[in-house]
Amino acid sequence: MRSKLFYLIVIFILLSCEKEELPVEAPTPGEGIKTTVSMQPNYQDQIFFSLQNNNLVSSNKKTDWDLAFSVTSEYVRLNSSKFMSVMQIEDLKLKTDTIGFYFNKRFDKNTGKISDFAINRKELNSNNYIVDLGFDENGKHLGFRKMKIKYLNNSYVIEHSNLDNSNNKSEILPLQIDNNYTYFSFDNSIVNIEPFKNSWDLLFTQYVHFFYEPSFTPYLVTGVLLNPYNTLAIKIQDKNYDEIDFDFAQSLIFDSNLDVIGYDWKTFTGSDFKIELNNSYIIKNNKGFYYKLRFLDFYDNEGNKGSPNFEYQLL
Amino acid sequence: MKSFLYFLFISLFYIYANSQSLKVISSEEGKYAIEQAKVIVKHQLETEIFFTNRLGIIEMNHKHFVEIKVSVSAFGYLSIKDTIIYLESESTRIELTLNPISKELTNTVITGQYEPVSEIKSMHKIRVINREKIDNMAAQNLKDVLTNEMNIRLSQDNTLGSSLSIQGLSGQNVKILMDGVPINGRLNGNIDLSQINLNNIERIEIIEGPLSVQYGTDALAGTINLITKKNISGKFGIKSNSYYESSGNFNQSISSGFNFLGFNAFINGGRNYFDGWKTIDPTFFYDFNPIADTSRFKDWKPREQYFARAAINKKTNKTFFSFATDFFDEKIINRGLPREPYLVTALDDYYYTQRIANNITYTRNLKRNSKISTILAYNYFNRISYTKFKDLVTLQERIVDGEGENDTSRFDNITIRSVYTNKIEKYQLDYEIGTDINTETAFGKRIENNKQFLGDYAFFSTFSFSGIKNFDIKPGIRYAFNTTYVPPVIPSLHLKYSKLIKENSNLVLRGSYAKGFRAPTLKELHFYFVDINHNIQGNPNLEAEKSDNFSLGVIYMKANKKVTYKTELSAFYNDINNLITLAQKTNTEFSYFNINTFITKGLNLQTDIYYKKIKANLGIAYIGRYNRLSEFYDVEKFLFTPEFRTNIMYKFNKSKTEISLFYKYNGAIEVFSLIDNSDIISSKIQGFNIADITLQHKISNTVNITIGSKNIFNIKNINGVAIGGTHSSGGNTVPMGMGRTYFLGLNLDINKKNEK
Repeated sequence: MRSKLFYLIVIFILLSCEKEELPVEAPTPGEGIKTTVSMQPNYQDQIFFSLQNNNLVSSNKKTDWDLAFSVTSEYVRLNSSKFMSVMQIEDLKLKTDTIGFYFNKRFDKNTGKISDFAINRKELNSNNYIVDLGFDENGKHLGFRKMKIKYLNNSYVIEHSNLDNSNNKSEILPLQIDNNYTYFSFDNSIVNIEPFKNSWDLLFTQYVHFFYEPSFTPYLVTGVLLNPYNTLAIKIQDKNYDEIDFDFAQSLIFDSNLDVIGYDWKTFTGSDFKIELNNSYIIKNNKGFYYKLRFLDFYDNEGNKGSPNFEYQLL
Repeated sequence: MKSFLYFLFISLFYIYANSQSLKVISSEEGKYAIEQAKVIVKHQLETEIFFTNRLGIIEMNHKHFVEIKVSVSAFGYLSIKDTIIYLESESTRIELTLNPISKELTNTVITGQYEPVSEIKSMHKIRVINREKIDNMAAQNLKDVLTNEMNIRLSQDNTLGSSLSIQGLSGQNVKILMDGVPINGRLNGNIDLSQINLNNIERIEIIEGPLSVQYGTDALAGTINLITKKNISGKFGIKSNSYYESSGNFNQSISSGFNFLGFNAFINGGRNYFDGWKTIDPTFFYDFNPIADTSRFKDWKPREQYFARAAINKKTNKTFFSFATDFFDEKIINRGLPREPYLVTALDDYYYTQRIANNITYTRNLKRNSKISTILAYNYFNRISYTKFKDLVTLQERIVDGEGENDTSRFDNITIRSVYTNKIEKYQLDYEIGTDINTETAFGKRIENNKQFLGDYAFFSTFSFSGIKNFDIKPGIRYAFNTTYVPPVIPSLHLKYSKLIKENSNLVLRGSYAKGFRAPTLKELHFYFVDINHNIQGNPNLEAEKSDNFSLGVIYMKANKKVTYKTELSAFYNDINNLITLAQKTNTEFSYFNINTFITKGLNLQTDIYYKKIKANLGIAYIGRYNRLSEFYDVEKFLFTPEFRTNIMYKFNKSKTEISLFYKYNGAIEVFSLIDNSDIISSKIQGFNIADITLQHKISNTVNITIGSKNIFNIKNINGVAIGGTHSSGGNTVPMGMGRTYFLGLNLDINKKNEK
C-alpha cells in the first residue's frame, strides 16, 4: 500500500503543463531629433542620410553620374535628378540623329518597381538606346550618347558612343555587392556615389515625377526617396505626429515605393514653399527600426531654399 | 511466469487422421508445431526413433500399440518423457507440448507468416523487439526503441519529426504496420516515429528486405509490424506508467484489461508532454516562469500528445474476432525568435496532428487446416499548421494569413485484406491466396486540386513446400491493379535449409530473392509546397520504384540449459531502379525524380548469448551506399559505414532488479555532392555513440521503478548533412540528441491475481 501511495504522490508532483509566457517590456522610444540638410538653393547636391546615426553619410553633385546598374536585379536606373531620358533605336550604327526623340523618350518613374524603369529586365539585353544626358544645375543641356547594354555573369557590359559613332567605348562594370547600384558616368566610367546600402535611409534629391493631370507630364521635383534596400514608409495624415507610437506603427502596412515621402510635404504657394504640417511619415528602415518624421521647413536660417529642416524620433 | 508453463500437459484432440500419430507443439503463443523434434518411441516390441516433419507430426502405422513410452527432445526446448495411451479402435492424434529453454530463441512472429511461428522457423529473417526490451530501454515511442537497432539509422527534423532508414534506404521505402495495417500520414515520405506510442505494444517485428508480395507498396527496404497486446493476465488488471526525463518529458498513461461479456477488453489512454529543449539548457532545467525573450526559441520543439485506445477481442476454437480503435492528438509549437530589432514580436508556428485508426479483424478456421482471415481498417490522418504573429509585450496573437503559412494535409486510408491459408499435410505444402485493397485519399492545400485519390487492388499468393528433407522453399507472387499506374508484377523466392547438427545445436541457412516496389505517393505526384523556405513540387510523370533484393544468412545456434547462443552472419544487396528521390531542381526548387539507380549492400554479424541471468548481444554491420557520382567521376563506387552494437542485461536480487546497458555506434556517413556541376565535394555525417543505461527494480508486487541515463555520450548536434532530408544543406549540424539525460519511470501494475 505504501508503494502505491508513493506512486501517486510522485505522479502528482511531476505533472506539467504548457505555461503561459511572461511578457517582455515594451521598447523605449528614442529622443526627438531636429536637423537640417542642404541640397543647395539650386538643388545641385544629392544627400544620403542615416536616421539611425543622425548624419549625412555622403553627398555628391547630381551631375557626377549618369547611370546606375542594379546589383540585385537586371535593370538600369537613369540619373533622374538630371531629367535624363532614353529612346529605343533599331540599329546602333545607323541612327545618328535625335529625330523622334521627343515623342519616344522615356523616363524612370521613381517608384522602385522594376517595370517602372525605362531600361528594365525585359528589354535590357536586346535593345539599343539613345540617351538624353539631361541638364546640369544651371539648366545647361548635357548632350546625347548612344549605348547598348548586356548583363553577363554578374557584371554589365556597356558599349557607348557619340551620336556620330565617334568616341566609341566598351566597358565592363562589375557588380558591387554591398551597394544597391554600380554607378557609371559616360565620362569617368565607374564612380563612387552611393554609400553601402545598409548604412543609409533617405536620399534628398531632385527626381522626375509623372503628373497625369491635365496631361501626362514628367516633371523634375525636389524631395526624398527611400533606400531601395528593405526600407519602407507610410504617409500619415489622420494622426497627430505626437500620438504616433510603436504600437500604432506595428499595426500598419508599409509601402515599398521609393517616393512614399516624395516631394509633396511642401507646396509652392506661388512665391515660396509652405510645409504641409499635417503630413507625418513613418519609416521602417532596413534594420527593422521604426522612425516617425515630419518636415518643419524648406529654408535654412538665412532663407536659402533647398534645405529641408525636419524632426524625427525612433519609436 | 506462469508456473503451469513449466509442466507438460497433454491434451487430446480428435482431429482428422488416418492413423495413430503424434504432434509436437510449443507452449508459446500460437502453439506452433515443432519440426525436427526427436521422438523415441518405446513399446512392447521395440524402440523406434522418429523425427517430426515440418508440421511437427510423426505417423505411426502400428495401430495396435495401446501404451507407448515416448521421450521427446527438440532444439531449444526442454526434453520430456511420457507415457501415452492410444484408444485401440480409433485413429488418433495426440499433441505433446514442449517448453522453450530460452524464450529469446523461440520468439513468436506473425508478419508474412501463415500462422504464428517461431522466429527461426520463419522463411524471412525477422527481428523481434519484445516488451521486455521496450521496458528495459524505457522506450516511449518507436523512435526511442529503434535507436539501438542494427542497420537502422534515425534522423530528426525538428518540425517534421523522426524518420529512419533501413539498410541504407530511406524511410519512404519502409512499411510501418500496426497489427498488419499500414500506418498512414507520411510527410515527405516519412512517418514521424515519435508519434507511434508503444504503450499497448506487445512486440515489434522487423523484417529487412522486401515484403512486397504480401504488403505491396513501400515494403521495399523493410517492414516494421507493431503487434498489440491481445491477452490479459487474470480477470482484471490496471496499469499505470509515468515517465520523467530531465530533457523535459512528462509522460503519463493508464491502461486496463478486463473480461467483458466473454471478450478480452482493453482501454488505455495517456498524455506525453515535452517542454522543449535547447542546446544551452543545463541537464536539470525546468523553466517555471518562461519569459518571452530569446529563450523562448527551442531547438527541440515543445510537444503535447494525447492518445487513447479501446479494443476488444474474442477467441474461440474456430474463430478470432477483434475490434480496435485508436486516437492520437499532437500539438507542436515552434516559438520563433523575437524579431529584430525590437525583440517584441515573434512568429510562432503551430502544428496539430490527429490520427484515428479503426481495425476489425476476423479469422475463421475452416475444414482441413485451412482458415480465412480478413482485416478491415480505416486510418485517418490530419495535420494542420499555421503561423501566429505574437506581440510579446501584450501577448496578443493573431493568425498570419497567406499561402504557405497555413496548411492542412489529410489522408484517409482504407485497407481491406483477406487471406485464405491452407495446409495440405500430405504433400507438406502450405499456401495462401490473398486480396489486398488499399485506397488513399489525400486532401490539402499542398496537393494539386486539393484532393487526390489512389486505389491499389492487389492479388497475391505464396506457397511453401517442405517435401525435401531439411529444405523449405517458398515462392510468391503479387499482381495489382492501380488507379494511376500499371504496377509491376512482384515475385519472391525464399529458400531455407535447416539441420540439427547435434541434439542441442542447429544450423539454418536462408537465401532469398525478392522484388520490392513502391508506387509514387499522392504527395510525390501532386505535392505543392512553396513558401519562403521551401519550394517542393510534385512530379506527375513519376514511375514506380522497383527493387531487387538478395539476402543470404547463416545461423548457428546452440541451446543448453546453461548457455544458449545464436550467431548469425548475413548479407544483403538491394538494387533499386527508378528510385524516387527528392532532389534539387534548381537552386531553390525541389521536386521528386526517378533517379536511375541506387544500390546498397551490407554485411552483418550478430551474436546473442544467454547465460544464467545474463543476456548479452554483440553486433557488427558494414553498410555500403552507392555513390552515383562514380558513374561520371573518379570517386569510390560505394561508401561504407560501420555500425556496432552491444547490449547487456543482468538480473539479480532474485530477479527483482535488472540492470541493462544499450550501446550503439553509428559510423560516419560520407556524402559526395556536386557543386556548380563541376566540383565534387565530400562531406561527412559525423559518427557518434549512443548509449543508455537503465536499472529496473520491483519495489513491491505492484510498483516497479526504472531509473537511468540516456545518451550517456552526451550527443547533441552532429556535424554533417541530413540523410535524404529536405532540410539539409552542406556543412551544417544535424540535431541528433538532447545531450545526456536522466530519467525516472514508475509503473503501477494491479492485477486481480496479484491481489490475492
